[in-house]
Amino acid sequence: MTNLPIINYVPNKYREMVREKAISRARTRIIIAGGDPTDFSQDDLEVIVREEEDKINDSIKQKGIMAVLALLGLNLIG
Amino acid sequence: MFKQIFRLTFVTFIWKKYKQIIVSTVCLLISFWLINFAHREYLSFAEHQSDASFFIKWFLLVAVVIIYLCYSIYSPKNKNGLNKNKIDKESAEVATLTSDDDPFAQIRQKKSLRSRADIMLEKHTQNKKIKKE
Repeated sequence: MTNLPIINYVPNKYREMVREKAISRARTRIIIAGGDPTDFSQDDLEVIVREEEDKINDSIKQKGIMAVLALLGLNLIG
Repeated sequence: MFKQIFRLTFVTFIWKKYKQIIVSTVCLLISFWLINFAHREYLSFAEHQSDASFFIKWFLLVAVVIIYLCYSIYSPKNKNGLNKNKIDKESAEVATLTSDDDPFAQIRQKKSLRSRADIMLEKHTQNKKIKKE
């Protein structure tokens, strides 16, 4: 049931989107550090992209919590 | 906030439950209006039968409708155009993703990525296996 492409379409699309964003951030990070992505080994690139992916997922979760709090009318600042 | 959500839910519920009745009622009212409009048009046409402005008016109305239909069917933003553009974009993206120049090509294919700790542990277990052999 979970192998159906229709059911997995949205999670797959979400994963792809996050991965692409993480790759572009990793590429930027490497360039800012004065390096070239082609000089890095696959393992190193994987670690960097994984780190960026975790950051993106954390920020999405945080935003989701804020949205729920806003929906409930709770304000953390004031 | 809750008021709006409640209102939206209520409207959605009403629409889903009475969709057929609402649509048929609107169609009925539109048909009433159309019949009355056509009757009025016919009466005024019968009064001024020699007047050519009626023909010009109807000709222009039909022309505008044809232009509108042509615009909506053959517009570049219609469904087929969008799909074609989307497919072209996707194929271009795939072409760039699978190229050998991209160092991230393999990473894109992986379902889940390993952290530094995962890689270290993997290497450790591999070393252990080699030592046992």
